[in-house]
Amino acid sequence: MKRIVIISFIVFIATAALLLEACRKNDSLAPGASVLKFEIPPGFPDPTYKFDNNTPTQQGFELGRKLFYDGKLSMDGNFPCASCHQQFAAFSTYDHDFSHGYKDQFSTRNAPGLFNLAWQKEFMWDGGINNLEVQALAPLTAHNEMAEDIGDVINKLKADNNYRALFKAAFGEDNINSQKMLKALAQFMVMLVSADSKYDRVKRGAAHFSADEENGYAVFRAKCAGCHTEPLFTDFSYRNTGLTLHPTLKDAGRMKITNHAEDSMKFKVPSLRNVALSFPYMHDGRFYSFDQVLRHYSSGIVKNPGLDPLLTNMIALSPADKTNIKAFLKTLTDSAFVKDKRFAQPQ
Amino acid sequence: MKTILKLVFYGAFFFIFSCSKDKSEETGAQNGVAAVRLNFANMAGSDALLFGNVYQTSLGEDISLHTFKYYISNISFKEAGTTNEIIAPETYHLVDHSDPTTYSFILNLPAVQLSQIRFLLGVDSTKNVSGAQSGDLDPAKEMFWTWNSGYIMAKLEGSSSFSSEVENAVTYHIGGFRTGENVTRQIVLDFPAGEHLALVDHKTADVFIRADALKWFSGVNALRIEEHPTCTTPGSLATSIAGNYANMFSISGVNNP
Repeated sequence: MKRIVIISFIVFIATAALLLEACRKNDSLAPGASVLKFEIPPGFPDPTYKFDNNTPTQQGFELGRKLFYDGKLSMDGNFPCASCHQQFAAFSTYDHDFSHGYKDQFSTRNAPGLFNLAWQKEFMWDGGINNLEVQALAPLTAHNEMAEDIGDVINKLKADNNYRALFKAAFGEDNINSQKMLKALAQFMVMLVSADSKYDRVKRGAAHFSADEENGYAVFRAKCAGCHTEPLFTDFSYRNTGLTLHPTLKDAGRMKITNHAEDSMKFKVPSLRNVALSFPYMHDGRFYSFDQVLRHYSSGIVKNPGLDPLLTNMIALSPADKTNIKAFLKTLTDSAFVKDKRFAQPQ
Repeated sequence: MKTILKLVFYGAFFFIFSCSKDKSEETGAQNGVAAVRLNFANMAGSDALLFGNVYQTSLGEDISLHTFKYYISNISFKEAGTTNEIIAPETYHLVDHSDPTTYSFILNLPAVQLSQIRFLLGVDSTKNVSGAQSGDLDPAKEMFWTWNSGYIMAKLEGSSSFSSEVENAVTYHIGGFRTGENVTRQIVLDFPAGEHLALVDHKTADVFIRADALKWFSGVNALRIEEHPTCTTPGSLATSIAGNYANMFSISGVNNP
């Protein structure tokens, strides 16, 4: 008797597993969709993003790219994702502390560059968003950014024959919903890998640092890499870097998410890849140049409560150190990435 | 040993049906499967909830509602006379008082006798961090926070003369899934004494559950509208309201096929 029970079980579980596998395949991949391989650059850790739940395909990526560049996702049609995330600025807003949004409003934080998002566990300066797939909902619905309603965007996409065909090609069904839109956008964004700067070529033995760059790298490793950890140039932590509270925005940063007083004025450590393209700097874009940022860390830190322990004594930097660090930071610019036609506005 | 085997067996069984759930949900019991329909009746005290009607909270404050929504998930049952837990197919169901089609839904189960229902009021932490979802978890249902990712587990909106907000608004968007801020609540309801749910293959049994909106204001943390007309972030106010709404459900009866 016992044996029969056990055998029937095994059969049952095996059947269940097979059926489950079958329905999973139906759910995610459209027939004819071609899987895009996600390459992990040499020296990079395993990505955080769960590709199993959203396998990038050529069709899903192309749909995501079209959505990223389409003003339809905003209330008045003027603000696609790409209006604040410009490829030539490594997908930050070039030369703007804040970005323009719906009805002449400004954002309240500096738009970060978009690259290497597959390794990022949390999003936004305060880390309030816990998955790349739901990140796009924040700018899409913010009244001062794209100012749209999720249901309205979906209705606009459903009314567009072209989109219906693209969703079908990517997901196998032409019923469009927010999940598919968000997964397609995530497929585009997760493929934005930047790992071909001069720094990367030096690491691969394909280029050499100049003397200034080499010295700058040494200073960087000694004095900056505690937070801006290689190879992603961030440790993804939240830190209070001794900035004064913005007089009008009074942005408390991470505390808004955690409700913990000790997180007051903490912001996510940004990656320094492509940093020469992503000025102005800090969460509110208050510094326009490398010089201003280096002056802050070497002599401008305000000892507010909760200041990061690594910055208690500021960072001693000689004029030569600063010159060399600046030379090094410029080696983090990935010119191939910002010109990569795969990521450009579809024609 | 036998109990464990039984559990695994049911588990495997439901995995299969969870796959085709979307299609079967509306049609009732399938071949070789029994079904339970959960019917939610939203109440204001002992009266059926009517939007726009003025009710009194236990603290004597007036309240009239125009929105009342909550998630039901992670449903299981206790098999009568045993300690077996019968786990229902994965379900995330949004009851929305403005849409009567959301008041009831069907679960496929084995044909056994059940003495208790257990469910989560809200959406478990796993689904809160697992990216873009669909169905009742679609963020277009306006139950998802975009700036601080996570589901609003339950939403109550209305007005009261005790609210100092614009248009006397009362706005409770109760969410939060992290430790210390978790507002999901495990609900356990016994079926009335002597009224086991006796499931039969191919047939649908009914469970009638009441959800009393006025319970949000009374209980472990009496809620004064004058003091707190708004709660739209995770934190201590949200968890204290959750302590109240944990007691809003009761079984009004069952109906065997």
